[in-house]
Amino acid sequence: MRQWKLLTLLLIMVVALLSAGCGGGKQADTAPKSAPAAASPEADLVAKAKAEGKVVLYAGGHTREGVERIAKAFQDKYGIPVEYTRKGTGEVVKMVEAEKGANAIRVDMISVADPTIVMAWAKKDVLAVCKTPNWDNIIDSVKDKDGYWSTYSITMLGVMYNTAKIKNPPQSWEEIFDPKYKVVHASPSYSGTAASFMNAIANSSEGWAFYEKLSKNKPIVVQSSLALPQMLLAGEADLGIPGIESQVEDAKKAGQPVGLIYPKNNQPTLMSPIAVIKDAPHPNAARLLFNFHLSPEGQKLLCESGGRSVLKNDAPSSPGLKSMSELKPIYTNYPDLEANKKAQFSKFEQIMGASR
Amino acid sequence: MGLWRHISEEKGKYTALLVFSLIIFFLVVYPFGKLVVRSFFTQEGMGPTLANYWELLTEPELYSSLVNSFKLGFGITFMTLLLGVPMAWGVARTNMPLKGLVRTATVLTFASPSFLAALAWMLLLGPRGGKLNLFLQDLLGLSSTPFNIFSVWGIIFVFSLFSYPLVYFVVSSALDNMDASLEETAQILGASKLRTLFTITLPLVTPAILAGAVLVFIEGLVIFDVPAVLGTPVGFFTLSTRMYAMFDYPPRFEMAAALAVPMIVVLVVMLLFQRLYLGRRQYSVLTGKTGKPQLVDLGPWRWVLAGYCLLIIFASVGVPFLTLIYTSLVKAFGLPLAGGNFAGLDNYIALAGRPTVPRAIMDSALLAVLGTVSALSLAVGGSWVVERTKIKGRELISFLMMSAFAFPGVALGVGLVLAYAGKPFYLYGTLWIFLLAYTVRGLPMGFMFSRSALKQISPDLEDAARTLGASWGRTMLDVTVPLLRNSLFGVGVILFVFMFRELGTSVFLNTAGNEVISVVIYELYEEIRFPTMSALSVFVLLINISVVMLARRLIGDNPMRM
Repeated sequence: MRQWKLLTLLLIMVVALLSAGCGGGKQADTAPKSAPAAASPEADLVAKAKAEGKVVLYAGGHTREGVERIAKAFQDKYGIPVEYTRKGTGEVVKMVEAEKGANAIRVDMISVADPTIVMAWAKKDVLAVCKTPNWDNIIDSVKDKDGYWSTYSITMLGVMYNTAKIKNPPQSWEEIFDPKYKVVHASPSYSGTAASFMNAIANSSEGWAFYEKLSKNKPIVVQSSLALPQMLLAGEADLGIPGIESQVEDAKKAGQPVGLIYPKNNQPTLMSPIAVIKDAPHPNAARLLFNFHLSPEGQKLLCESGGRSVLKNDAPSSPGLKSMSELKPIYTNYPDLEANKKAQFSKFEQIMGASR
Repeated sequence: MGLWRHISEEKGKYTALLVFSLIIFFLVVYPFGKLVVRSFFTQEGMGPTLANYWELLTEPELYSSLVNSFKLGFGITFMTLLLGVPMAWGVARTNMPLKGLVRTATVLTFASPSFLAALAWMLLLGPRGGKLNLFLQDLLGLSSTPFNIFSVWGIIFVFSLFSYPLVYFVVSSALDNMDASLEETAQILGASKLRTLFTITLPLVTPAILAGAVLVFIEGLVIFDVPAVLGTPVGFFTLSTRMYAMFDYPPRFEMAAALAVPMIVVLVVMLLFQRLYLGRRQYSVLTGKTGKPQLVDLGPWRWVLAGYCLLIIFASVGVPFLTLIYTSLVKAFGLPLAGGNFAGLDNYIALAGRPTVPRAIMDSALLAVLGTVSALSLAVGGSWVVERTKIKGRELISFLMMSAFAFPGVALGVGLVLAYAGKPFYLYGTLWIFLLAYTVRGLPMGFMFSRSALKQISPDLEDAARTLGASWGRTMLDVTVPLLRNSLFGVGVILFVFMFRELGTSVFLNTAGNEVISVVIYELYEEIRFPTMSALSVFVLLINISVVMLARRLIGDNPMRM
């Protein structure tokens, strides 16, 4: 009868779903047997990592190209598959918090585009201490003193624009304040990148006066930095703040008409940290991947994908990007941002007339 | 006589009830319960306290977003009734032409995530660069563009076009199954067509109209995508867009839960109102006596009505679809389709190269089918309990079934993870948690529709079967379900399309290897690869169109008819 045919069909589908679901992150599961463990701690770590079988990464700070390259290189080198999920920083945070709340940690390592997150997590015992063998060669201001996290890639923040519509982009903040440009700015309350930008500017010689000047032209304030390219490409705005160097490079490679202005005066920088989660299911593999990101080899790969190295000596260069010596970076004061978040966000909204 | 004897005689019924209650508990009560309980505690875990609610009412930002959400709710309800009711009447009860087109197009309206529709309309009516705006400005010689999509009316406009089918489906289904003899009697007694319409037809389908209105009102309160794209650039925040920030660091689950509670309260109020208003009146019109309804002859006015429907369809399906097709054919978004910018089918070919795509399509399809089946089964079960039994407190089932509507996607995702990621379930990271999410998501619509359908079948038919000695189980299988079958199939198609493109919860639950197609679309959007994103969206729309056409072929022209 028809009912039974229907039921059989459903049963088949359930079985299909079961097998698809169990497949989960379809990667080769076990690694080939490694060479016998040598006496060195590094080889020991590698052996233990291989035995764990895989490493789970929630990539909030990586670009798609970046994470694909580094995952492949890691797998090629150690034979350990990287099960990565590329999400926004916000999503990564929600997931980690939800997993913690349910006492079911699935993730080993995370990357985010907002250091205040890992700073807070370090205090709340969410992260594991993880100093790499080359820890001393990492720029001091971008890593955590106690070893809970480190920036793996620095990227410059500038002003995004539509290269098809604007042929002679403004080159300095003064030019950008010209009323003929419609500016769209991401809200620091929602976008970690925008928060970094705001804080760096506020703490620099520009100060809050920057936003006073900007607000005179009635800029549009959007929630996430994702809305910036959308507004620019649809012609609703001319300039987008903050433009993220790595994101713009990525889009340019895909043929999209976006470009980045590095204002002559100064350029805020964005740090993308990585960290290993405490009680991760694959702790050694996580550690190994963490180390790999910060090794010269890993750094070279990331630089090729549009990032900038965090190493002091022998730092690989970033092809296609302006070299640091040509730039005037200004830095976010993360402890200041973390401590005074609410006050600074309110000030921003007040000056920019963001909420009604 | 005793309760036990009664139960053992009706074994089938009570077993089903027990199983049903357990499922509902695990599916709805447990995850949402966890979230709601949290709303009574502070961030540090102290409580129980009403501090979060106090903050909601006194903090001006939060309070204004509450008010804005209500503005949207009312505006959207008003507009969707204007759009959906005439269309439903036109298709179900008149001799309007082009019915087939309307039937197919309405299902396709929500075949894509709503943020795509918002994007498309932004391209047309953005205050600065909107193509249609600029065209009108030139045409009419205005000093500035006439429309601004970044406004509360912009959101109402776009979202009403997206959600009016909810009203349309419920009302047209009710009209289809209505016994026309009452109308005919009125005509014989000399009433004009319009008088019949307003004094007989519409009042008879009031439950359906109310049901549709409740659905869209809640949707209006809860939607995220459209206000996010069109509201936030001008500082227009709603509960959902404010709630989104609550999940960022540091996550304020308790505040988010507190934000969801007004929606739940509204839900309860609406359901109570519905019950009170409809309580005593008799609406059943399918009494086992057949009557092929005679269509109302509108004469030349039928073309006017058809034109109205066509306009709505063009705006709700045509515009986004055409915009997506256009965008999928360019190399660089934002530049006109000319010479060097024509990409032909390159973007589509690029899709085949992206590894997650084929798998995601399969996963989405599988989940949509299974989700539809589970949601409908539960929905029918729930409707039956509410409509056919006299169990005390059965309205609680209504509430539970509809409660999923009151939570934006991300809240549902968090609730499910909190409830089912750990022991002893470990569902996180598998497709099963998606299935749970989709089922819960499908319950409100499934329930509304099946309840509406069940209301119109008189209990006489089932009573007759019972009198003749059939057990409860037999009656359900041989009488009730067959009568509902066509209606349910129609709803099933709608739920399939809805689940296939579900975004809010899927984005949150997404882990490597468990992608669904809507998430891949969103990822492309995040990577600013708009042309490729459009290509994938067009592809997904084509799949949906095929499914809908196939369904119509299988169940005949009029899926809602019994």
